[in-house]
Amino acid sequence: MPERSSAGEGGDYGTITSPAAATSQVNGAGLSVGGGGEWRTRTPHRSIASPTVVGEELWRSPGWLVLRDGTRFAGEFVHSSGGDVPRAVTAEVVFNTAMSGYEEVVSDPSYYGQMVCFTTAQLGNYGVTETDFQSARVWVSAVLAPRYTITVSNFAARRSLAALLETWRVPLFVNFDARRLVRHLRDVGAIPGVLTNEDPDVAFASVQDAVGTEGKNLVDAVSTDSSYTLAPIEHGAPPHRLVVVDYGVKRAMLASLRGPWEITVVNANLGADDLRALGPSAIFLSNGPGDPEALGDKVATIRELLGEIPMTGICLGHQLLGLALGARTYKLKFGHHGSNHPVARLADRSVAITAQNHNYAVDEESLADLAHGVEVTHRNLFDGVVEGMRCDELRLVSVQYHPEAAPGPLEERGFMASQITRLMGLEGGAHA
Amino acid sequence: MPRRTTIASVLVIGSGPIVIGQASEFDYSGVQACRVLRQEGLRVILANSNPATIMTDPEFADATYLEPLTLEVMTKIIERERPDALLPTLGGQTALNLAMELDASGVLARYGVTMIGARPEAIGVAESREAFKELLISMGYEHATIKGGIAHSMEDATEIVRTLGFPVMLRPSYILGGAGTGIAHSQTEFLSMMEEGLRASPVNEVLIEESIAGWKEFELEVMRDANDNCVVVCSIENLDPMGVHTGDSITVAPIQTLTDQQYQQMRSLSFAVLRGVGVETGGSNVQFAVDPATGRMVVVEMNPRVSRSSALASKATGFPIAKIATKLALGYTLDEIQNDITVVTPASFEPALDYVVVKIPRWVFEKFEGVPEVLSTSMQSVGEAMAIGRSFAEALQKALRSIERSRDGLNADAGEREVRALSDDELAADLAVASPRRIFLVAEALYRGMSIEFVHAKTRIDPWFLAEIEQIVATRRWLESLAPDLEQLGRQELLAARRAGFGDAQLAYLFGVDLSVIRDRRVRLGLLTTYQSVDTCAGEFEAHTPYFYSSSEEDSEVTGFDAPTVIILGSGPNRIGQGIEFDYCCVHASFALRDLGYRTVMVNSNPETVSTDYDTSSRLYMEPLALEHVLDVIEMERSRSNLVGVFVAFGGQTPLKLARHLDPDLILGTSGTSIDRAEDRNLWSALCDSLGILQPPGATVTSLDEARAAARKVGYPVLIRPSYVLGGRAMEIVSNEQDLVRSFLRLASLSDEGQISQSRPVLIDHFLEDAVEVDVDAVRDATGEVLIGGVMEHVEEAGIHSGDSACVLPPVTLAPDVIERIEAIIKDVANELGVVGLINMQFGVKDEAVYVIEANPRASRTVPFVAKATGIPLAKIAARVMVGETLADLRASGVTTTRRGSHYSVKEAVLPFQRFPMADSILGPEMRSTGEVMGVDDSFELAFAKSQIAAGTVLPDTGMVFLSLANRDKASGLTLARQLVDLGFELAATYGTAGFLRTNGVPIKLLVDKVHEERVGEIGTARDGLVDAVWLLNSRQVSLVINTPEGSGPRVDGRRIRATAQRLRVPCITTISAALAAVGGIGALRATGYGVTPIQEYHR
Repeated sequence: MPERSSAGEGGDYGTITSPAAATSQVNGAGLSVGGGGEWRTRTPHRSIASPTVVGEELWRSPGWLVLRDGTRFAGEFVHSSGGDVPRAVTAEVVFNTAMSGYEEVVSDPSYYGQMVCFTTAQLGNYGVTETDFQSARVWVSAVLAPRYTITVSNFAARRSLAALLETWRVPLFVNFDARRLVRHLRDVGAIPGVLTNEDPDVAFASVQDAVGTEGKNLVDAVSTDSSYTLAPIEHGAPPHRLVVVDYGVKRAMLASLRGPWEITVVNANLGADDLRALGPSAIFLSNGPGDPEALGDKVATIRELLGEIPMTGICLGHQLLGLALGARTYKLKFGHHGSNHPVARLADRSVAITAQNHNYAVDEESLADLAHGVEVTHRNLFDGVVEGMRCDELRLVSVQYHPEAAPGPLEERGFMASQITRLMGLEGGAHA
Repeated sequence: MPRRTTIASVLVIGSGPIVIGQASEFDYSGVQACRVLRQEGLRVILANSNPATIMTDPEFADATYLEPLTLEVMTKIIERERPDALLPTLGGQTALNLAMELDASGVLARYGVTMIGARPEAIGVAESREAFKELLISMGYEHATIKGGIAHSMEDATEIVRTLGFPVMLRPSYILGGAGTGIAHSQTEFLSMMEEGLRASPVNEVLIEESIAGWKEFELEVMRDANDNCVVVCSIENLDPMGVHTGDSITVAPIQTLTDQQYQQMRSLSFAVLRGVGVETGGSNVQFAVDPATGRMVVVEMNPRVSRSSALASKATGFPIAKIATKLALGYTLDEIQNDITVVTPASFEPALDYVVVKIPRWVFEKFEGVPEVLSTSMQSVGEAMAIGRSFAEALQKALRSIERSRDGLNADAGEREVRALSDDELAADLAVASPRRIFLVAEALYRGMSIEFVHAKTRIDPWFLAEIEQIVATRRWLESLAPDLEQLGRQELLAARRAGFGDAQLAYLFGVDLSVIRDRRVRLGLLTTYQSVDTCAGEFEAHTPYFYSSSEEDSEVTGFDAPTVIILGSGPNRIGQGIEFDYCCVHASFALRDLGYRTVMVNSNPETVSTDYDTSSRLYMEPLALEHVLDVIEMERSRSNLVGVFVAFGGQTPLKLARHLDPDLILGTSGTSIDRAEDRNLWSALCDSLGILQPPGATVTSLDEARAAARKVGYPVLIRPSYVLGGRAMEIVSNEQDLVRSFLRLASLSDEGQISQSRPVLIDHFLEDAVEVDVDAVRDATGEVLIGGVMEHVEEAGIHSGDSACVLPPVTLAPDVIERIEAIIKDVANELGVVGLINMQFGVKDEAVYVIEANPRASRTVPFVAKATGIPLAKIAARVMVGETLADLRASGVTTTRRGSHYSVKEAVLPFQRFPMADSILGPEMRSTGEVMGVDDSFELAFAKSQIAAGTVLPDTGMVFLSLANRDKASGLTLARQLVDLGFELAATYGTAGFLRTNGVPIKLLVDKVHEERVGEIGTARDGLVDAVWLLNSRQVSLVINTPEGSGPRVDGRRIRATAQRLRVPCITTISAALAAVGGIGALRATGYGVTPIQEYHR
């Protein structure tokens, strides 16, 4: 049961901690006091008239995160307006170490089927802008964070993170020892967990059969239903077309792919003939959620087009390309989720700081004995994972990281467009 | 890329004395640099005039020059050493400016020295605001520049301001810590500030810009390697908006109120700036301002070197910027360097923080009467403390404990009565003024129900911070609703309070109980303090370098030590009287014990220091040196490690104050009882009497009546001071009852460190006029053997605080039998007190009689100087003795215990009066120096002259000397005047002084009238044919002022002379003994010329 402040008090959220059920009472001074360590100030934050501040009423209630291995964390759910947000959510738990960019993360389709624990100390500080939103909806199963901050301050903010999550009925779980969770996941790997506001023992029993993303096709749920087109950004450009296969593409990726070509974004299940029919000069295989090995039909489609149409890809698209080439993929222990991953560009040993979000990777050994020569072009300096590959014979280029960032460093943002320019043979004048 | 192979030797320039704007952070960076260079097998030549630094320890370089950081001296060092390369980016603005001078004067080219870490052209662009702005515009970033122009003259300035309108911001170029910068709101303000600014800039250049005061302020600490890889090490957001110097701002890491898109824009822009400026390798800091209403982002400035913010960023993230910058300067790339903390990952990444860091500056306005406590664009703080928490609230409240202003957090403590006493109107008015106490006012305003909107309008502090503070305030209200019923303070309530940053002391205050009651309750409820690690990666990888902060999570990440473990309590934020010298001692204690196989645990809150480097000790806790935090650390180590004890003797007064609350069995070395015997006036007098030691007559008093009676009994002049303070806080010499009353009342009104009570009485002593003051540092072991580290004779007579006085080792005027008696006394006292470890004593020698002024059985400010002067590693010896070794053991193991060499070493104080033009520069018993320098040479005169040059005093070789002497100084003044005439100086003197000198046959070129307050401003006027002193100085005819104040009465006469000299940067000496030494130095320099010798040769 959510607690709420007395009527008319416009109570707001404090840094509350109690996992125990609490009752609220109101004292004469208008300060509402709960036995679980609750307080509400007289000044609701919505009264702040500064244009940079967004405020609203927030409620909190105790709950648990229980992992499949029995590890449990006491914390609290936060929800705005007392809405009826589901608490019992079961999903794989991963952590993201980016210090900013929660809006982009929660709207990234690649996180579908996962609950994300942000490691940054306080979440929600700058609200939600909507312009930074990466898709049509919130995709994460739940948001976990050490602390949620109640006041939003940024000129671009339009609403709060809590309100956004509320709209999409996604739970926000905070005030727990998130660092202990991260250290645990670091040791045992990403595993499923359940959020609950009821008996944690019951929840523990319910999560016993839960599985992570392995073996799951999560792409079909996030891919666009109907195709759509983005016009070339330059007039008088030659009639090239880039087909983007949407396994869960982000808006920033589409923006960074713009060039002197038309972009057609299509559903992930389009077959090879359908793709051919679009007459693409190149195909871009997007990022997306889940296990690449569960996407055999998509791999088959790609395999059919190998050598015929130049192809590029990132993240899941990169993994699928690897599978199509005959390589293997494997699941990383706890994945790469953050904005600080150093990736060596092996051509010149320079380093890009990249945005990453993946749980699977292409097995480097399996690249060695492929029919077509595949060159590893990028490598993660944290753990040596293959971060990019290239096959000139088949005109393929792909990277594991997210060159489009959002969130994350911008230095690789132009990488894909420049590769596509090259693959389409447009270098030397046709583009800006 | 492997490192450059063409370099075999590197010259590193340090930052010189601690001054405002340039503190011990450059010891931290220099130490890291020297370590790296030596590990790489390079010959390291180090130049730094500051003896209190770790970097000038002989083992950190192959040749260490404790010499003035001037072009002339550096040229001599380069001539002698012929280094292959010069690394100028780790010694602050001082080193950078000096390197630029060496380049511009052709010295580097002449001796084939390559500048590494930064190219002169890049430094030139970054340092010249004009060039920097042009660069940004040429790169297409005009939108990211501030509108304005550069003036080299008043005419330029007038033209520029006409287009901008008021208010405008003025910034002189090539300056340190923002001296001379400010906002002009009117033409009058503008004209006077311009004049000051043109003078402050060594290139007579002032930037005039649209005022962006009130905008949000950010900084990025950025690194670039030779392969063009760039990373942001740390992002910082200032709580205080633009308009308050970043060094005087409360700052927060990482940035809290920018979206990822906004942050990434800033990040990309900072890299573009680095590339555009041409910083090839190393660390830089780029400052930004953001208009809160529109998000417009401008680049304020960039520093192409390791800075104070880099030190903060290193400590905030665990990423050792100085060390990495040094490796990059040698040609390594970021991906080739290992991250020490994770071991498995490289340095080419960006640290991810899962905590919030808050830095709060420490100011010392109380030391500078007449200086308003107002913060602006010119930095005034002398130190800072940093705290880490799981949230902003936790970090902020901890940081407020860490700055050691006797505050337990953000109000909710006894110290809040000051802000509580303000009326609503006063509070609202004071909110609008940036000041050291504003953060407390903000909390009080919100507590009283003033809205965030209102407080934001007054302060321009971002509403996010205000809302976080309001949550702290709301928590406090809620706690008040539970108080005083302790039963209501359950586990959940305690946890909620702690997560809002409330400490045990604040809860004790709110519930009206003792600290121990809250602690016991908390422990009983199972709410133990936990320690989380600073690991650069938000937990993603295992951390191998143990660096911790406290919080209230579910478990601690501390792994116990099996080896014997000693906790060292550090000295907290730098302040006047307690600074880098004590950090030096703590670091030495740690090094010494680690060498012996102990594990050392450092507790400190000062991010600028070597002690808070994560590899100085076996474990580091970045924690406030507040009782509750220290007790928690002790509990943690006691429960997990083989804890032997705690060192409280190395960190100055801070740990000593805590010592009496700790388990006596844990205190290593001199016992708390012995410390009390030396500090408690009555016990101490009894001890002296029993040993037959002379003391100036004195008494302890707690009321004004007692003070009057005591002063009459001991005889005027008397020295009046509070007990238990360091740095002569509030100490005064008074010569009559009227002044005594004034002084006593001032003491009684001090709100924090000087509260008067039975346990903290006021001391009144007869003052020994004209006595020679002597300082001695010694170590006693448990067997009773005493090692005299050094006997130092002060150049200024007793009455000038020892910290502000120049001193010489060995003594130059003391008779051998006097020295013997002094040594005998210190042995007697050390034995009587049962000292184990360091003891410092001060003596006054008058007419061959030796009086004991005070004894401190702990590390003193002079320990590092003594070590540098003698080669005896006093602090290390003390640390070893404190864990049971004997001096005989140490000698047997080859430790130096006797003075090396026959040279003279002079320590001189460096004073911050340029920063506080409204304060009188006269020296007195209250310490006001921020730092020290050392001069070493074969004679006292040469060593003294070097110390003066190092302290920034340009001793003239020709010209006119202006003498204005107190009556008592006239006899010695005659000798002085004759020497000056012999050296070819012309003399000007005030009427009285001139009459006396002329009577004795000394030619006086110019008669000078005293400055009359009522005639100030009538520049150029003269009375009875006399020239006005201020006019004379303004006319720039004088190259040296010797002005000794009359007695100890009101010091108004002469004040204007000193102020004028200070403004014009004419050296001004205020004691006759210092004047004699200076003139001796001028003569010696002329006779022998300037020679440089590394300290290692002196110690041979």
